[in-house]
Amino acid sequence: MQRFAPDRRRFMRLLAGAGGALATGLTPAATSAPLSKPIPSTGEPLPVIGMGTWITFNVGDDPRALDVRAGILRAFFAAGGGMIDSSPMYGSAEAVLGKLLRRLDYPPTLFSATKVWTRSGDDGPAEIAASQALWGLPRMDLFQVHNLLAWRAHLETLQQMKADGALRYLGMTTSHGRRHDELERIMREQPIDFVQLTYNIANRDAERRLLPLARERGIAVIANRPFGGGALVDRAQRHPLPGWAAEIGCGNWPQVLLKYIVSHPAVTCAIPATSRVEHMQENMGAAHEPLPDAAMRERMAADFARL
Amino acid sequence: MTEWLTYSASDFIPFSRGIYRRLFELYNARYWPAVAIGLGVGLAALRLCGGRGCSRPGLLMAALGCCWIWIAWAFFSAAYAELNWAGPYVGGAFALNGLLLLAASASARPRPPSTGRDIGDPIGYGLLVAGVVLWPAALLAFGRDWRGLELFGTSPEPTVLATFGLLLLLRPRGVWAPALIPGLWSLLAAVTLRVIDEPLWPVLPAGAAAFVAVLVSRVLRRRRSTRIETNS
Ligand SMILES: NC(=O)c1ccc[n+]([C@@H]2O[C@H](COP(=O)([O-])OP(=O)(O)OC[C@H]3O[C@@H](n4cnc5c(N)ncnc54)[C@H](OP(=O)(O)O)[C@@H]3O)[C@@H](O)[C@H]2O)c1
Repeated sequence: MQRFAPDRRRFMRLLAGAGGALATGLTPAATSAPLSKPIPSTGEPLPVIGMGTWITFNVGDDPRALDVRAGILRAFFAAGGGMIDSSPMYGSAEAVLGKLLRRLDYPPTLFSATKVWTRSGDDGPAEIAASQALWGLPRMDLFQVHNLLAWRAHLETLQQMKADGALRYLGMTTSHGRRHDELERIMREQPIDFVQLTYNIANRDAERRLLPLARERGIAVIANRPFGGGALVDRAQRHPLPGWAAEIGCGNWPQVLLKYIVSHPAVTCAIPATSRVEHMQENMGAAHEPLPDAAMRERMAADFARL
Repeated sequence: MTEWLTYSASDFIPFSRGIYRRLFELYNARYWPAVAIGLGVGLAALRLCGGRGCSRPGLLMAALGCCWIWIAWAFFSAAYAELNWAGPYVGGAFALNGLLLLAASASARPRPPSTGRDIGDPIGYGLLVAGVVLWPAALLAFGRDWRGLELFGTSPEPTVLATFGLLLLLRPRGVWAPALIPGLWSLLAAVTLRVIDEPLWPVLPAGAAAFVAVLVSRVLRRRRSTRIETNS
């Protein structure tokens, strides 16, 4: 696997970005730099809470909805947010991101992640070029093969791009616990920097084989569907916050759910999606110490299962 | 491929209810003259089919075909396609159905006076009323902003509903051909509306079922009357 040297400049910019957040006089949780974890293949730090864009950023050219998404991105960046995950499958999401990033003058903490999603390997390069044009960034940080679709061919394309310096990282995604056997094989055999999979307090399949394997192989893990598409928050919010929530620095259920995920040693970041500024602020509040230890994590999962 | 069993409809619907509703507000504002013309066609259809049988059946069917082609182009291939990559494919299907309706306009006919009582006529007229009047009225009742109403002629759902009605009223030859795509869309639209929690989701499948029931009853009646004729 070709490995990048840790990107020191980006690291310094990350610190500078956190300083910028301090200067904006935000709420206490948002003013300190968010927790980061290193991307195993380079050591580059990545904030543990990123954001997804499925449904929430597919707003076309609706000016009112665009303004709200601009506010969400502002809140994300003000809290030192890093990874933004999208896909050509998400309707206008990539176009919306590109439009807003141009408008917002994005900070150096941005870690752009999208996917290649087409059945034919031959169509990969054109789709990748289209995504790059929509985002409008000088270079994408991460391209992933969406749901392992035609992964062999796309992996070849992405490896070539990475070798040419046109891409920083490459990865594979799956979700809902699908095709874990195949993903496991790929993780064992292929030189990939990232895997993205569904991992949350109610869907812990990945704990058995994939998360330990990711640690062993030095692969970064992105946890998608941290709220099970929203259902887990809905289920939890019918109940009062448990006493132990304060011990792990959580003021609300979404933070409990996120801290459960990012406290797993193999997970690099979680990418909750939201269409509301106040939810973004809540979610980013989970990117701060203290995180639960192993015993507390067991208790959290057991208590949640009883809800 | 048991993997397919793990997918649900919500894995394929990439927009929320709020954004779907806003889509109609923006679409109506952008194309308001077409929206007005479409609604005019719907009201004219109500009037022309209000008596015994429809007058100007060929013209009505041709106008309906044009509405389908408009929706294919302006709605699915442009506005809706922004939110869903499948938009242009649905647009292709709608355009094809528009052409089938135009072809059918040559054989559209008013109700033959001899057919006597046929439940298809009131049901057809009911479906036409449902598409032109009741669908937008129900949207209003469920809290839709008037600017985001879905109207006959320019929005797919009310147009599909009224199309079932007009096909029953105008009885073109080979009536099933321009009804296949509306039938298919009724199912897809119901799934989409169900996923985004729009309360009118069962209406289109119900309209399609009523349409099929009338066609079956007409076939059975025709068979019965030919049997009686051959026996006597
Ligand atoms: N195969 C793949 O590659 C794949 C598959 C699935 C997902 N993903 C990625 O992972 C991301 C996350 O997954 P997801 O979007 O499916 O689901 P999710 O992040 O688990 O849940 C999103 C839902 O949670 C709600 N929510 C967010 N923050 C909240 C808060 N603080 N309080 C209450 N509700 C809150 C949102 O509603 P509001 O809008 O009201 O906040 C939204 O309905 C996706 O956006 C996508 O980028 C990738």
